[in-house]
Amino acid sequence: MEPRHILVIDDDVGTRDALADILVRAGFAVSTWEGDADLEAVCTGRRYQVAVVDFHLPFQNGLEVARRLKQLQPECRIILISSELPTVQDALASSEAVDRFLSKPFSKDTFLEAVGQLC
Amino acid sequence: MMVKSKVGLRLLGVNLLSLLVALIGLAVVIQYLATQQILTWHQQRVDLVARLVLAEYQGKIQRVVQAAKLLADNPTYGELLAAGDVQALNRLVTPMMKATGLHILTITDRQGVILVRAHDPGAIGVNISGNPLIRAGMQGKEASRMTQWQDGISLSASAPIIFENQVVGVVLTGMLVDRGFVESLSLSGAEVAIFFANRLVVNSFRDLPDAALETLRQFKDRAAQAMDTFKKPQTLELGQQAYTVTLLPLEGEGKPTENLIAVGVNRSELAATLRTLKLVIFGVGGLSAVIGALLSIWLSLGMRRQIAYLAEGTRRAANEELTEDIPVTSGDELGELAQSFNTMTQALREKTRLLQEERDRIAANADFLSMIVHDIKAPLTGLRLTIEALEEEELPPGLHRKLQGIIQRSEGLLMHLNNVLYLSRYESGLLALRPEEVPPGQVIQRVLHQFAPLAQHRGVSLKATVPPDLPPLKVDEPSLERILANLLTNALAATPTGGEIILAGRFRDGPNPEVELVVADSGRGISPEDQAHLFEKYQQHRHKTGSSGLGLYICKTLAEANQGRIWVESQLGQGAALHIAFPAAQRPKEAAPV
Repeated sequence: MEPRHILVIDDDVGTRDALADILVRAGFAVSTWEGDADLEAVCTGRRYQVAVVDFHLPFQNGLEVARRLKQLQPECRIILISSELPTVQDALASSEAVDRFLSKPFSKDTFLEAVGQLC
Repeated sequence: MMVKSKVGLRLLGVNLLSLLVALIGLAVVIQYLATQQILTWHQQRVDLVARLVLAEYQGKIQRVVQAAKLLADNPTYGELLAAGDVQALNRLVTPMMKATGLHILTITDRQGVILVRAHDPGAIGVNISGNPLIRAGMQGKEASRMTQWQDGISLSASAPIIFENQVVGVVLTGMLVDRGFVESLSLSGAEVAIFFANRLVVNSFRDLPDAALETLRQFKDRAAQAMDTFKKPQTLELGQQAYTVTLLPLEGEGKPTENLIAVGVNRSELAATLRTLKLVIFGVGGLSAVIGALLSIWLSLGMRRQIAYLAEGTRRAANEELTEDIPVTSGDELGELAQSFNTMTQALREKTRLLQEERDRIAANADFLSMIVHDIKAPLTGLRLTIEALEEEELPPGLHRKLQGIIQRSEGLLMHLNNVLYLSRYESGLLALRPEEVPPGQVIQRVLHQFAPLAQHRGVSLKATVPPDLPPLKVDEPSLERILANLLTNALAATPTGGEIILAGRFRDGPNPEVELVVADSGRGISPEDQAHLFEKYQQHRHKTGSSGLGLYICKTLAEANQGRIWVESQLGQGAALHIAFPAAQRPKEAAPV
């Protein structure tokens, strides 16, 4: 059986690597994106079950990325991760692209549980 | 700004009303006094007219008396009488009647036998010595009187004709008191009536019906009975006209109440005067009222405008809309008030501006803090996840436990950061509380889940004994979570390995039903002295864990902000129980009947 594919988008290299590491250990195939290439290029040829998107990205708003991802792969489920700021809560309320929100910092178990539920 | 002042209008109304009342009162008083004065003048005029008429009447009598005397003094008459030349006498006397304007001219001899009768030659030879005037003349005396003559009355006078010291005859002169006579007496606007021997003989009143004549007679009779009414003119309706009538006796002696002259002055002139007077008084009054009203409106306009500006300004100030001064339109106390109002609102605006600046600064600080916390949280996530990923590796014994320690300390750090952030948001007014119905079970499960690894690591038993039928609380859910997290953090810090922490809950009935949650530990307890200051800001407490002491202060602040309360029950060495209570959203469901 082909492993389920997860896309991790976070500009903080420590978080990004740790998330990827945890997911790989849990048996997922993982791609990461730091905004350096086209989102379309990352999505070409692969189908992601879940994308983990950081809200605070230097190049773009995480919600906008989530919206574009949903356009490219409507089946892909999105987990938005961010430290809990009131602005994020307000933005989330008006967004339909996000399936799950995780407030930073979260534990490995919490994270894997959320991913497992969406896969 | 629209000039719309109810007070001003009311003031104006009161002004105008008092003006109107004063003017009407004044006009009525003036009208009354003036009418009285005019009536007095009218009565005086009637009195005067009556006296003039009387004087005229007496002048007529004088003429008759004079005529009698002048004729008697003519020596030729005496000679002719003595000589018995009646024919010559007739020739001389007859023309005299026309010349003197007399109606009666008679000459008798000394026995009273008519010798000459100029007005009626038919009665010559008749002895009229019974006539009191002739008798007086025969006795050598002059006399005059009003007397009955034919159908009417006449004014008559007699004088003796003396020749060589002997009375040789008597001259009798007379003037008929007829309508012409009374008309000659009456002045313009005045009419005259003459009563002789209680009989209305003649009058100059025009077209009087019988009823009016009867009224005049009755008036005379009443006046005759009460003498004093002579002095008081009376108003009488005679025919179509109203007259002011006064009575005067014609003869001072004898029978003053039988022979009278009535003088009536037509009141139509008076009525016209009174009407004119009324028109003038009320016209002038009305004009004054209009002028007064205009002046009042003009004067009050400035006042009303100022009041309206003040009212509008106060309304705006109350709504915090006052961005500019109100216009000062009057120089009086109202203007001063407006100026004071402006000074006050200027100060208010300045204070509001400073306050807003202060608020902005606090909000900016909170935002800044929020950014810092966010910037710390992001790498903290990476740190934690990296450590957790590390745990999967093959590690030397003991390192696993140390890594858990790092995770727990980072949790503690996060708790502090969140506490600081919450407090800063709360104090700057940025923390929006959204109270809603929160089922306690869910929140408790969440915090238990969050703290279970920590408790396990510390070897502390963490249990919840919350009854399943505990009703929901009315509270802001994040606030409740923060409170419970702080209480559990403190309890974990205070409880030694092998101890236990119990999260309990119960419903507190009463007028304001509450749901109470308790976090009880089996730690060393809190001394009464520490309990007194437990919820104060920056208090260092029993467990010197490097805590800033902000945790319980935040719990108390958030509890009270959510209409809840927090308290402690503890004895040294016997653990501590921290209680929180929030309004119950509903009562517990009744147990189904068995």
